Amino acid sequence: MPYTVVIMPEYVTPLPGMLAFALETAVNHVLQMDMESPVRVKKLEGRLLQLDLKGLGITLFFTFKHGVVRVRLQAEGTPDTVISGTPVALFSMAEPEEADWGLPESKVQINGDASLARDLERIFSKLEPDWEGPLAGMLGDVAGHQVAQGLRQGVETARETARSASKVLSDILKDRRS
Amino acid sequence: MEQTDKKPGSGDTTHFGYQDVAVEDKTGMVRGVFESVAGKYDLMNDLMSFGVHRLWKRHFIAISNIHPGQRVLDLAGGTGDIAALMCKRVGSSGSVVLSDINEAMLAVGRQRMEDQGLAGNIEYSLANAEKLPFADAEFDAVTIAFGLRNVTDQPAALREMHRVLKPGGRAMILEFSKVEFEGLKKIYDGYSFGILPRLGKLVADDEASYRYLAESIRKHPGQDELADMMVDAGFTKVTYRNLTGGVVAIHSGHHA
Repeated sequence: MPYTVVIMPEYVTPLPGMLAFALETAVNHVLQMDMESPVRVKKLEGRLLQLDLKGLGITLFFTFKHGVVRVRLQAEGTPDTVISGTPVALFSMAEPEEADWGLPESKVQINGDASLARDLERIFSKLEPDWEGPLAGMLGDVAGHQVAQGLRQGVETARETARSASKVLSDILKDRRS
Repeated sequence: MEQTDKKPGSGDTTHFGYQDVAVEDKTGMVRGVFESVAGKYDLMNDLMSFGVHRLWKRHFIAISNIHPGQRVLDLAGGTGDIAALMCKRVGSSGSVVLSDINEAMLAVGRQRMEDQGLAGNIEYSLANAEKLPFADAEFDAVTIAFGLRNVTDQPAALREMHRVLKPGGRAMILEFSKVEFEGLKKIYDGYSFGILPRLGKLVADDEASYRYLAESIRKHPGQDELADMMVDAGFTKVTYRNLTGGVVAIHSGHHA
């Protein structure tokens, strides 16, 4: 029987709600830059993912309907998959080459159906965002191209930063252990 | 929320903003609102949305994948904002049909298109979205922007949109939707019911019409509900995207 998961009664600030809103907006925005994404996301319909952000004490629930990812602070039903990790560790997983889902040494733990996490990782790794098309339609060809190029560079920088941050953190932890 | 196929003369009611009215009365009442606001519709839209409605409409067309040579239909096209953008996309080898149920809005749209020098690839049609006067599979794309919530029988309109699309064609709906983030919701509600009707009174001397606009937005189906209605109408690959935190959403679906 479905049950409602009620979480984080101790949070009195709107931070978790803002985070869920920002994450949902960002994830869907990126996904929708690729026309094929809704079809891929549709395959996840009916599944529930729980994400525990260690250190922040925030739990987010991801559901999938009509090709759209929804991020909420509560959900009905039992999660198919629970992923937990620090924000830095989770962020570094955004880089497909760095992803080590479920490996014993991974800083990201997965419980339950690991295939859901894998499916999600595949969706993001297959992304071929068309930055230029919609921007050119709104801003004109020249400005659209320039903004799109800036965005592509921004994404690459973010990935590089995530990779570096993860490595630095990992080195610090190794130094402390030794 | 009911958006069902209720029949005129059956004693069934539907909503007109927050009021329940007889099904047969709604179309006339909506017509009255738009006849009242037609002359200042664009000015009010700019004031209501701080001009953002122009960005929403540009984005709507930018992601529409409409291209040269296509025949497209814009329903509830009102003052022609969407049709003007589409005319440029389909080019001289394509055609756009600007359609509205309201003669006053269509007249404003026609005048504006002519003022912009848009002619040759544009046709006008005074038509009810629930009973379109077009053949099956006539269009490559059908759009409706900020119009569906004013249609009495929305499932019938969606079925008609599906019917007139060619196989592989795409329907797109730009409409106010549901804001789910509490912080934004409070600001949005305060603006819609506190400031918007006063703006209507101040600029158009028509508080009631603008109160109806705010109420009709709240009575309109949310994102998932409208997507379900599109699936029920026969569309495939139905999806949506929120703009401005869900203040508006773009739904799309294909004719298989």
